[in-house]
Amino acid sequence: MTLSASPRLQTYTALTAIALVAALAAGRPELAALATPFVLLVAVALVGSAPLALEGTLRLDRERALEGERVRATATVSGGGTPARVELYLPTTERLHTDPSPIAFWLPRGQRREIPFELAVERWGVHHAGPAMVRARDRLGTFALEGKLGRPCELRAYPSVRRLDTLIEPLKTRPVLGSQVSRERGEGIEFADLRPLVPGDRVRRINWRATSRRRVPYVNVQHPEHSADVVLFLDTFAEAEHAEEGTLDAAVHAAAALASAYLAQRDRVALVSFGGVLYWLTPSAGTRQLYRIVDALLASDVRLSYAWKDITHLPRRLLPARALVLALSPLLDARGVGALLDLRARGYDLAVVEVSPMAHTPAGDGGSYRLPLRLWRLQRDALRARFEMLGVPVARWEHPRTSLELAIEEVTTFRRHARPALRS
Amino acid sequence: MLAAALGITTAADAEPSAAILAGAALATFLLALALSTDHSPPIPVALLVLGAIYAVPSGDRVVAAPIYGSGLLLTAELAYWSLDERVRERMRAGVVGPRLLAILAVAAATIPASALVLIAAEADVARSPGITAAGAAAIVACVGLLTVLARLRSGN
Repeated sequence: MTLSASPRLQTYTALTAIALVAALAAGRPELAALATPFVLLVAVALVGSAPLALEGTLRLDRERALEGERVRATATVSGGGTPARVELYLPTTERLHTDPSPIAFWLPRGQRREIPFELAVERWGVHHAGPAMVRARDRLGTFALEGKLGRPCELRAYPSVRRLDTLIEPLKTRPVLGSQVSRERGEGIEFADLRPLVPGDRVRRINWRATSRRRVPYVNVQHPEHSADVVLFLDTFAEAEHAEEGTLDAAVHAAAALASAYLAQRDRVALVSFGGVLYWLTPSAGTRQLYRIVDALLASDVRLSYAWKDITHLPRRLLPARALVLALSPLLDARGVGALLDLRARGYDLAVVEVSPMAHTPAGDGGSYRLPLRLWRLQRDALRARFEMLGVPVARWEHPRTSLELAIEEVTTFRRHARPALRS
Repeated sequence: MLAAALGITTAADAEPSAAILAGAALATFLLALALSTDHSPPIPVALLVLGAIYAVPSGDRVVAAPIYGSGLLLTAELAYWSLDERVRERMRAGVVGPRLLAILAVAAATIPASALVLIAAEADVARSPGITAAGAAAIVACVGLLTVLARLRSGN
């Protein structure tokens, strides 16, 4: 804390000196009488009261919140010195926002005041609230004590998870009970085919209509309900950001929504954040995995790195052979694009949701921007065509203009008509 | 307003009143300028002008020097307080009272103190270079003491 004297003390001292010198020089005692109130005020300010002293803490009601929620917080200020007028400047940032105008209150000596306030969580992430700034003035306002109040409090703000009505169906499933209708044949609900009865078949599976028509016993064959492995591949090498909204923000929201939806239908979900900082979560199922993924997504950030990274940096168990790799990428960095092409070359079932940077690119007003912008768009179209030639659907997601479901539907439509050749 | 009132009361009992009225107007203008531009430097100039229009013309005054000095202090304190309050704040109850009471108390207490100074000045002491030098030394000591105290207090 820093104690400072009001500049008016110096002014009063100077005025006093001028008046007293003038009184002495001119022999006018009235001037000394005019200066006396200022002398008295300075003297009262200097010796009339105890020094200012402040202590305090900053406390959040909870450590975790959802994006868009409001979190209650309390600043506690206690005064140990002279009674003071306290101005409390609450901690506010663009992502953890509160009314920035200070709160002024009177703090009697030895008492404590609790100031409750609310912080609006504007964006997901790990935020730090505080410290608050405080300024205390003595009764006459001649001395001010300024400083920081309390220690920063950490708040983990989780992204809001949207509910998705449609999902990309994996081409391959794993032989564990789930909600995905497998392409394989076995016991299930969905009808797949007919075949002649063989020893060991249950009588209840006989298709009597086909049997009577062909005079040979036939049985129904179904698609079993299996679960799948889904790897959410988050490209964090680069992002396009404009006005606090960017491609990474959209990708994190999409990853949280996709993880929630796949885990809800008993699939195993893994997360790979592939960028300047590489981290991953191995495939797992259940609510606990959802919490792990959302917690890991908080650490997602674009870190500048010149290191070349490819998928050999990832552990093998992270990418099961039958997994659907669902990439959320702005397709801005060659390393991210190269990793995706590498995954496809290794035979993985890959789908790319391109979080389009176009929505976060300031619209050029023609002139010198028109040609490079056109070239850039052509390059991106060529890249998309390259993926599609390899059988990889690339759905453009113009966040926030279009919904994620639209991009998912685009992927599903592509996969319906152009199935990639799978690794044998 | 207080500055204008001080100037007008001074002009009412002094000759020539036109210059004093001009001084009062100048002081009021300077205070208004300080408050409107959020800068304090015009305030001491305004106080000097108000002090000068009281002290320069000779003759008896309707308003005694202790009361006028107290008024000057009140003007200065209210002007500085106005500048302190320029930041938009969410003010809780009971914030304004203590400072207002403290300023009024000091302003009231200065009237007898100034009267004592005037009474002391009426004492029949022959003027000499030695006494003038002692007065100057007292001024320097007074100003120096205030400065040292202010520094010591700020350094805590």
